Amino acid sequence: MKRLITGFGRFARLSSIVLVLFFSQQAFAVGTDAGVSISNQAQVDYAVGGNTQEPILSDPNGNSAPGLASGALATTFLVDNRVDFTLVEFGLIGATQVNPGQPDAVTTFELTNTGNSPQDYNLAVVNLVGGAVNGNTDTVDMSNLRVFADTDGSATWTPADLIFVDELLADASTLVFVVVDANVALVNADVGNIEVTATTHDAGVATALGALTTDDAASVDSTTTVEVVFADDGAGSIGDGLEVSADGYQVSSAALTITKSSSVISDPFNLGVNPKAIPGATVEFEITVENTGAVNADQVRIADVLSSDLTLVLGGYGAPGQDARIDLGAGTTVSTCSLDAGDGDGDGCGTAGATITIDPGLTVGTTGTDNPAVISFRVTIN
Amino acid sequence: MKNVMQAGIFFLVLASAGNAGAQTSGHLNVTTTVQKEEVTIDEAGKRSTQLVEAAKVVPGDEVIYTVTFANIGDQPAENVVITNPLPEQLTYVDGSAFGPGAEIVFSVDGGKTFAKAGELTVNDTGVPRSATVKDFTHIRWVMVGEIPAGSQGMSQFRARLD
Repeated sequence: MKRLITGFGRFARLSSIVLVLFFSQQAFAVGTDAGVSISNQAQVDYAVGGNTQEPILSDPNGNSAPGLASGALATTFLVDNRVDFTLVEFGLIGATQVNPGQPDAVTTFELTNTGNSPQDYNLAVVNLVGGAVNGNTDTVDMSNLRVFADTDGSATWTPADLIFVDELLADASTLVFVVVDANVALVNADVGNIEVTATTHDAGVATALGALTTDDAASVDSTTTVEVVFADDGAGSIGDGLEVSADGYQVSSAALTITKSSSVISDPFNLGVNPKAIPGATVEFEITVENTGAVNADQVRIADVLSSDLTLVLGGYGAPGQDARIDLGAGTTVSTCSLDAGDGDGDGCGTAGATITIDPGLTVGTTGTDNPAVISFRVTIN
Repeated sequence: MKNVMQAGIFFLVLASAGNAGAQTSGHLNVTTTVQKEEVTIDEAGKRSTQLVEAAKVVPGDEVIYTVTFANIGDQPAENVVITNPLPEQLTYVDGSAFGPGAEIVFSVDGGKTFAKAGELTVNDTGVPRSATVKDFTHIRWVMVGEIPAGSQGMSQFRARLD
């Protein structure tokens, strides 16, 4: 065999080998399983002196014994373990919306084993600091970061899911869930980006994370052992057996702006014409609640304490019991409620001494039909 | 010797390999090796390739099979035909079959019939179509001339691991 090799110039050996690259490590979704033995044997038919001879089968070390049962061996090699996988954002591409104080907010990734052998994968997740993911610049960190594989195949996170990918077959996929808590102090439009890292580990034992898989580039190769070849697009030319993927959370919260104004409606002398704020005059207070956030503000409750110089006007909006007016969306919905002592009628509006409370289960939304909310009541100046 | 001169690439077996074995064995000694190409970059950044043992092969890699057949008898070997089934996990690399002094034909029917690569058709959907490398099941080298006593020939092809 040496004779043959040295006979071809293009097979010339090189003395100074610095870096060894292997051909064709392109993306390969499916491949022959690692550990499969590939065998090949040539058959040579011939004649001597016009007489057909028994065929001769090839052997890696040469065979001259005639016949198909000569005992010649096929030439074999073992398919090695091509480690490759992908880790990508799954489902919603873009920031996952969370509310301040929300626990267990989930983002989903998909991990696909594009190699040719079952593998385990260790999972880790960290908060990113600065930078942008999907165009959303990181401003805050999320809390209580956890990461799970979809062990039960339910496609949703359950606390019983394992924290690593277990025995993922070649060409199979699993979902990976990042679970975080959103701190209650976060405000609307805050962005917390996170990054998941999956690292290739050896498969073999169910429900246990195998040993870290290592590339066999430095070890002696053999046709009879399965070597590991990192073919992922890692930092180096031979891959690194790990993949990272990032995603983010965007805080979605109500952002309320409260303004209070007053206007004199009438006084005892000028009545309704250019009234002045003199004793006996009627004054209307308007408390405007505007939501500039992304989600509805529920259970908005307004409390105000009347100065001792002021006396609440009862029935100020028409009939008795119509003491305060609630105007949603600039006249879209107008209602009244009664500011009775201790909220005896249970409509959410009432007084306790000088304190006025208006709490009729008010929602200030994000559209013009229920935003802003304007709460009005009237007083007279003592 | 005329055919040897035409082919030009046959190698003379220089010495001992022959006679003792020739009495109990056939006239040809046949060897199959499998190798892969390795690209090396030296300190100057120059790339070159060499053939190494196919010890580390993963899907997508190409391997190179080389069959050598040495005439260890004392008579010329005539009508020499080398037939190589393709392992099912491998796909023949188009145009890679090589054999000095040989006509190279392929089979798409498990070795029953052979024809040149461009002349093969497959009828797997009811409509005949031209065969592709994925259809090839066997490669055959039909030596045009004799292999004289003491000479050897070779055939070679590349295949990609699926």
